[in-house]
Amino acid sequence: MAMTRLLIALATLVLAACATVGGRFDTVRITDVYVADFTSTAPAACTTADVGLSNDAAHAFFRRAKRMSEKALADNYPLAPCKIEGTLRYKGAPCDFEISAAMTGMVRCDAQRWFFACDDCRDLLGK
Amino acid sequence: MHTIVLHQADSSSAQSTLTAYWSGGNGAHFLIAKGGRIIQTASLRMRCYHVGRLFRSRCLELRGVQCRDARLAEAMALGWAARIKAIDQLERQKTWPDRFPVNGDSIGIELVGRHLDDTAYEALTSQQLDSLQWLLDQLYIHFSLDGGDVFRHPLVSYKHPGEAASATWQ
Repeated sequence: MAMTRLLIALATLVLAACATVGGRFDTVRITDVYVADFTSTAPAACTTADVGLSNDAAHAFFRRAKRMSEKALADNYPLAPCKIEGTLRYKGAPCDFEISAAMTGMVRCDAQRWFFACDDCRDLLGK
Repeated sequence: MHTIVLHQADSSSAQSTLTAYWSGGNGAHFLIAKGGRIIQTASLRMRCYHVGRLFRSRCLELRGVQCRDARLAEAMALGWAARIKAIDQLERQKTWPDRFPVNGDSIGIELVGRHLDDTAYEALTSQQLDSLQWLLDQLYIHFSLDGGDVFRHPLVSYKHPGEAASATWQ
């Protein structure tokens, strides 16, 4: 009985740890990408022109981007003051996404998050 | 060394920060845990990658509209991504103190603490602040620096605006 409780407690801890750190992510399973909004904390310095992606271009971003840890993203890429936000489906489930003017992105499905950066996606702007 | 840059590690503990370092993440010279323990994580003879790949203009950030630099004004007319690259390129042609610190001339101090949302980090503990001041006092003596040579990371580079926001020092 004590062993069963211990195993349940350990399983709960593992699941809790997995709840926020996204596991494997297959960008081929992304569908229905729709840009829904634009936000900027520096409206004069970072405008819609700095991250003007269409629905298709936003989808292309995630196909091209590299996935990385949140720390690697923060260490190696600048934080842009503006971004687009929207919705997509991943494996059929509804999720949210963001893509910043630094060509970094995030997908959030319930409590799971995955982080992305694309070094050669500037050609997607305006498409 | 000309300057000291203060960071918050976006971690909940010193151990998780150290684990991230060992996994190959960027790091700094010192780490201050929430209880105030100071850990030296790199020799002061070593250059740590802690400032960031692109850094801001010292003239623009500290002097604002008083900054009269024609080349910076040209850069400001560009789109955001091109602008920050152009500013970085211009600033790297300058030497200290006409620009912000770079990795090669600055000491990095990380303080344990997580970001709370898009604008805020956890407040530093009183023990962290006490340890920070003690450490800074030692570094001031060793490198002939003072409080004016200490910068929070987001002032220098394009990072989370709340990082080290609660840090105070003399």
